[in-house]
Amino acid sequence: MMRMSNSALRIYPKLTRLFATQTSIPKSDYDITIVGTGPVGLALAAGLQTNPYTRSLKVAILDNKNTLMIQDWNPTSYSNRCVSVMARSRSFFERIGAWEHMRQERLQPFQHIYAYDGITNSTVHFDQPKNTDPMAFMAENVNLQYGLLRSILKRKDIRQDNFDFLVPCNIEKITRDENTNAPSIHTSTHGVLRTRLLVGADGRNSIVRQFAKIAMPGWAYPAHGVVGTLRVAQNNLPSVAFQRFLPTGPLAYLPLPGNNATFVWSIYPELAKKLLALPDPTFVKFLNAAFLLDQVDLDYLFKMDIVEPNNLDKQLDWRIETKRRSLSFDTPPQISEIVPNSRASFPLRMAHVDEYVKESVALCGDAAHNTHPLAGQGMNTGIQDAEALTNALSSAIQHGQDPGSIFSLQPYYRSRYFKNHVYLGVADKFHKLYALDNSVVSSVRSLGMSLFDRSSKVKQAILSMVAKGI
Amino acid sequence: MNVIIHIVILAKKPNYPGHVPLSPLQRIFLVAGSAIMGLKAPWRGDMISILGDSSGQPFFLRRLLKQMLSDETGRQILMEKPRITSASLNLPFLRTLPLNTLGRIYVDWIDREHVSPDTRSPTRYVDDPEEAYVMQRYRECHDFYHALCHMPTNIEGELAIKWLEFVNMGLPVGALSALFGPFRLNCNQAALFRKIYIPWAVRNGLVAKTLINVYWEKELTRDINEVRQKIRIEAAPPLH
Repeated sequence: MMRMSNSALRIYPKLTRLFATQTSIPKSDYDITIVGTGPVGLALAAGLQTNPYTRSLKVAILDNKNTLMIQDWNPTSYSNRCVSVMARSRSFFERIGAWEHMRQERLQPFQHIYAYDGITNSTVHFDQPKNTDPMAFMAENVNLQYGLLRSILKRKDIRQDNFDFLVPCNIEKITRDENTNAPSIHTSTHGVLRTRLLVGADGRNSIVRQFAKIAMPGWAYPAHGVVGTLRVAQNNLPSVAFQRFLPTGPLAYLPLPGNNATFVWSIYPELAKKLLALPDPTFVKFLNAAFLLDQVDLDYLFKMDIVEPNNLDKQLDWRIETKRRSLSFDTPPQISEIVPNSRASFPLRMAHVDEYVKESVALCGDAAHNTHPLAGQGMNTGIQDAEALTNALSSAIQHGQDPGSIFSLQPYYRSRYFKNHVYLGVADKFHKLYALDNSVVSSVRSLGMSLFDRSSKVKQAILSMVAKGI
Repeated sequence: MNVIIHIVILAKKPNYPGHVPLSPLQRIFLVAGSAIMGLKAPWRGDMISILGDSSGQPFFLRRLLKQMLSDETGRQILMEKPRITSASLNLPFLRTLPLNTLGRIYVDWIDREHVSPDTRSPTRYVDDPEEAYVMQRYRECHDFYHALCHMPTNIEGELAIKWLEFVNMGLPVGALSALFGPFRLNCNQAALFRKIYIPWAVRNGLVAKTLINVYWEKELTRDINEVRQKIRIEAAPPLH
């Protein structure tokens, strides 16, 4: 197997040794390698493990963190990384046997969403009738991982299948094997892994995507998402999620069990920095204020000095008290404290890969698409990716196809790309619509919201559409 | 008219003592009615008050409130909610102040024109309590503009101040008075008004600080020229 171009001058062809001379490096072959053990990667693993056609495949699950430690998860307070689990994702979790293993007491169902315009305060109420299944659950990311991991390990114990956790794994580089063109993952912890299909469920900065040279066009929003874990004084609205569309970005209040809650505040980066620098009690007041006050008021408060927060505290107390006395719209329960060190922020962007699959490579979850958190669908679309990929692979195996072949993977790409693209576009436009501070736009927008709020049929239709999955 | 309103009133709760909630139709009628009465009988101060109350919502008072909320002194006024009455200003004390101070000029003007700060009727038709206070403050400060700019309370003087208020703060009651009021002037007065006072009012209204953000009670012992400079306003040109 050598090039003959220069060999005319050579009398004897050069013999190349095809066998590896460094036999000390272990090599393993897998059918499928999943890189990333977030909820999406684990959901894919569990999906493959429970599917009758794919369960006999040899699957490796890699991560640079020791994910197996999540089995010992014994938390005191709620994590600041929470997601909403829509009905469709929940039913997938149930089918793959993971839902029952999650800590149920840490899941908060909600049946109402109140969305309101930050300028005119006109509200849209999404309400579900009382005795129906909740439209969504709030869950901590780690709780989802916990349930998924336990279900995978339990099945592995029982059936002794070939689903291997190679964690923590330090990936040095990924190449294509010179003989078979299969992806070869060179690690310093587990030797070299060759795989027929490499799945990137490794998040925003996916190395699998980089290896496959798949472009991810998009744009960064001039915004950061600030999150944290809260406690409320009195949880009089346990199953209501709130979202206020301020011109600086949407602010969401999401209920958790008991008197706990979490929030996501999308805001300009420099203001996010200020918010993170505030002392805890002042921040709590500011957050309460952000659900009540006009933007003009908030602008003034943002400009105040934060090093000496006494004046800021006084102003916040006064404004909150004044507004509460003449409140004409629904607001979340009063927040009483924030769990220390739970405040964090991350940059927001919208991005979507051009291709979800290439020969022997597939991407799912955040590795393939990033969206604004305003509709809480980032992880849900990722879970549906995992479901779709499982189905595509199951179908491929049934037809005797190589799981890494592009023909096996194309149906997955086809089933997810357009839907995800539409969703990303809609979320982006909503974000842009509510970022406009123009009074004409806000009047028209509020009118639209009021009319929409009054048409319960349309609301129900949209709610069921989102619940059934994007 | 009051009786009719009370009979037709909706079952909306009042938000503060003295509040009279109105439905949109009632509001339209009240604006029209008080505007017409105010034009026919400009000495009816209560008609102008009613016009101010009912026409300020929903947009104009809110805008003025926002201007107050963006200003440090404005916020202080909103927090402390001072009211201008003869008791709160302590008129006897003002009479002892030096001649060049705002307080002394104000009290001299009050005595000369035979008016009193207590004649302002309370706000009734504004729904939000904070906006109601803004309207009240707006009315109560009116005399200070006269004193500051050295304007008499005859028709030209009042109209000039109304123009100033409208250009500076944008409330419709100012606009309505400013536009229709001059019809009551005779030819000579109207000509003078157009030539001198309207330009004065527009010029100063645009340049001056938003007048509602001035904490008058704290400026009383200050020299009047200093106050004028701080607010960026000129004294009125003489009438003749």
